[in-house]
Amino acid sequence: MRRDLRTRSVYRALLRAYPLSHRNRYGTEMEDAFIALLRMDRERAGVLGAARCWMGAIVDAVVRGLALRGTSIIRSGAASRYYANNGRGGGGDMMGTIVSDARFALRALSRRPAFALTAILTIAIGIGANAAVFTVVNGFLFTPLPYEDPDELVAVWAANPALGWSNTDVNHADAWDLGDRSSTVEDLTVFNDDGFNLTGGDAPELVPAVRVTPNFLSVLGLQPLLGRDFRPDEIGEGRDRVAILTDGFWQRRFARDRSALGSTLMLDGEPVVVIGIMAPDFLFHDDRPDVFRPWHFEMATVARGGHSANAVARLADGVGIDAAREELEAIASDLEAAYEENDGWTIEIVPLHEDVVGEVASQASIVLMAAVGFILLMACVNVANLLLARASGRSREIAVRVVLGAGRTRVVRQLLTESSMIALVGGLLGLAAAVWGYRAIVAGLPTTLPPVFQFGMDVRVLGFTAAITVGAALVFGLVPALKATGDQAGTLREGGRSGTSRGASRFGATLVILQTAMAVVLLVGGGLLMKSVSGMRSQDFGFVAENVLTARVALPEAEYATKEDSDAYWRDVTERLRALPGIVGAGTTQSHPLMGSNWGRTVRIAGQDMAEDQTRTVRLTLASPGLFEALRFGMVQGRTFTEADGPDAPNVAIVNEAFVQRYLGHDDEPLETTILSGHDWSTEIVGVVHDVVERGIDRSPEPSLYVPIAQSDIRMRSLVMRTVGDPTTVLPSVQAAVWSVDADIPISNVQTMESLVEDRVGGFAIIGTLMGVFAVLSLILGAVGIYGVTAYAAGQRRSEIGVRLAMGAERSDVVRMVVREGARRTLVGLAIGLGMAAFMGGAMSSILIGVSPRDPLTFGTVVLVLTAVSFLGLYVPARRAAQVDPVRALAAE
Amino acid sequence: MARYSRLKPHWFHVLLAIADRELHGTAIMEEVLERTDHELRLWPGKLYGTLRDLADADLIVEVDAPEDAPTEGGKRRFYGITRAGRLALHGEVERLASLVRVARARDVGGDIV
Repeated sequence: MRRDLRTRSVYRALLRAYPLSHRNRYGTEMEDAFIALLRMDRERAGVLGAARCWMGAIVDAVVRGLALRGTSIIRSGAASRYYANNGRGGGGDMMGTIVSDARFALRALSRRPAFALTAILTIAIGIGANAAVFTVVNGFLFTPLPYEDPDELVAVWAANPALGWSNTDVNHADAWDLGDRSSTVEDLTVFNDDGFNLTGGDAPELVPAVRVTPNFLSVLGLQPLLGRDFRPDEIGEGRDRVAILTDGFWQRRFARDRSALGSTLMLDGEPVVVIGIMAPDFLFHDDRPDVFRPWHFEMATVARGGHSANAVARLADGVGIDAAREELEAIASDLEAAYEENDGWTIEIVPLHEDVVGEVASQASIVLMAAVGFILLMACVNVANLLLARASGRSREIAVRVVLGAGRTRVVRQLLTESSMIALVGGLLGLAAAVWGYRAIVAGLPTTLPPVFQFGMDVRVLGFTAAITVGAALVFGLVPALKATGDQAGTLREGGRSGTSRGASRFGATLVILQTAMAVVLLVGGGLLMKSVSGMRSQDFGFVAENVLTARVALPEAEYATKEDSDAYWRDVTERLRALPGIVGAGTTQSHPLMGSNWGRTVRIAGQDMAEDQTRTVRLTLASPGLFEALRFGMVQGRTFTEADGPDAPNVAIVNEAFVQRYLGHDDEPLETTILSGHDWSTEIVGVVHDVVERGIDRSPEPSLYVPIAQSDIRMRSLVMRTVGDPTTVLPSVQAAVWSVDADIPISNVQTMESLVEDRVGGFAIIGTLMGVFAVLSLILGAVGIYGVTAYAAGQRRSEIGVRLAMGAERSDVVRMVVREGARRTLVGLAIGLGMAAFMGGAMSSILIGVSPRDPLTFGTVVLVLTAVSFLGLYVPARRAAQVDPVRALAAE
Repeated sequence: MARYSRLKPHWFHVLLAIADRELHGTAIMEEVLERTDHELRLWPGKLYGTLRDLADADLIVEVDAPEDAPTEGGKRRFYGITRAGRLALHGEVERLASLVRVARARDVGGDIV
């Protein structure tokens, strides 16, 4: 019964091919008829019968549905045709011709179901892959961000060209100055991640939040769905106790109760009033926060060296991005002159959409679209070859029709109608498969992806699919149709044997070369990406990701006002964690590897002449004793932090190898070096650690500085624990241990380090998997293509081979002859393909990590595999050709 | 030989199916399938297109469903043959019969000795 319902709903979707009036009138009964038919077929022939029934129903719906849509006029003449039709045909109207062509094509196709099915499935694979990938690419590249006039929005980043740093968080005061002084920027908002402890419910909860300047929503051109926006004066101590909630949080916490508006939340022990609630379709381009709160900073006291904020600007009407960039860079250099810490820093702006999509996604989009484009082309080539072989089988019939006055155009149109039918059904099947396909791709996208993207089949996707379907029909239909109708007199003279053979075999040769070249490109692309992804998983992260659990904990300022209070808390928690069975090490930090929340800082090195290259910028990470051990950082020299490195002990620091290589001279002894920052801060290097992947795994290591967390004051930390076995099994005891110190402090973002690695690799992994699938597809299509062309060409030469054999040639000579001819084409294809692949490798450089775009091993393997597959594709039909019985072959002459 | 405008095979089979009783679409499809030993398959699109064309040509007509007709999944349309339909069917049967007669006269068909 349930199966019937499902069947009905799928069949109902098929019925959409019919005009509404027809559907309204007969729809339900057609469903009944189909269910009955399907049941009967399933009883008679099982799954195969059901599959055949579905295929037939699809063809039936497409052909008749579309014919009905276009021919309501003709249909009304059906009655008179019955009485008056004396073989005059469907009259002179074009629609009638199309319908009669369609009927003829359908009959021709149904006479050769194996051919029709192969052709349709091949095209369906090509179109399905394209539609699926395009749906995802459309979500990334072509769907505008859900903000007002999104083209006017730009992301603002800091950059330090001397250090090769770009795309770095901005300094909030710098960013604010930019917005203030610029005339090309209409408005600019600065924001920063934050988190609050929400108490007053069943369990304390860490609420992810964003602190925003009050103009945040107005810059994006949005308004809360309920309530109001922040007022400009809602900043500063006491006045900023207001919050705007996202829809997700409103639903989770308040079950969408409107009384949430105006209610009070206890955030970090502070009463905060809910003044607004965002609409469900509001998406923050950067993250998934629950709460927005106003952010205020005293411009005079902000340290200009810190870079930890984000900024988005709306350009003034009619201002181009280049003009804005020029002006903002000028302001940045004014700031550089005004503040010592701004030395070397400038500003970058990128259209917000481009920024959110990122380089990897946009380049991957292009590479994947090119790959599926090749797949479709290869599919078209195979179908063209099939059609050509079939047309040559029908060459006599076609020639007779042309000579008898059907007209070449008419016959070409007829053949094109056949290929259009194949494309149409293939396109519809492909589109249906693409729904699954794109969902599978989206499910494989990393969770770290900005949540602002929406994927779905919209008008653009349907238009694209329709366009490639028409394109495919022309590509694989036109050439065979023209070839087949070329030299009719010759065909008839020679009895239909070889009228198309010469042209067709040249055409076949071109097809083989094309296919081989495309297969090389796809195999190399797939190979490089898969190697890159497997390299990423096995690369040296600088830490051991297995069996590590991390969690975020934030201490509210109200209850832990002094540094002593918070130090005592962290000490207690760490000690209790270390005492738990199953935990072999624990530490805390403000940012563990792959989290990327460590800060950019500018430092100097004692004894170095700063004029040399002005600034030394580092990623600063605060680390507690036990952190390096828990993550198994590799020490190059010196020591790690201990409990002795407390708040009152001398300042100490650990640097990474990148720091030593970049900032210290050959003769400098790292452990005797002093680092200076600001006016009066200095620290001694006591250890050097191997480079650790701090941010993306696709970035090269940056100079890093680690300082004891006890010598700093930080409210929100990550707990990092090394466990004996599966890290998730200790979670309950970890929670109990943390809450045994203070039951009001929530634990959030519980993650294993391995899942973090997987998140980071995930984006590349999905690209690698897709390219792998496409590579295998291309191999299959290529092999089938080569086989088809060779078999066809050999079949055309049946009589010649017969003569050779009759004249005493060995069968092995025949095999060698056929293979040799094909091998020449394969070699040409390989050479062209290798050239194209080398070119494409360059275009893929940003999504290839740790693999050269011209990796000789990948190229070599592809050549070997393709040569082997091509040989098989040549040898099998060659052997069959050599089995010809010379007597029969000659008798057929 | 004035009446050589032969009836399309599927029109013939539909008319034949409802020659002696009124049937709904699915029943017509099943009857045709059975009678032709699964050779002639009226796909739903073709079936209802044909029924519509036949009705437009006044060869069949929609009739009320019989009292005892099961109404699973909603009411179904029943079809009966019209006088014109009966004439057309008769004409086609005659045509086929005359062909059979000619064939028999030439010793084709019947028992193969």
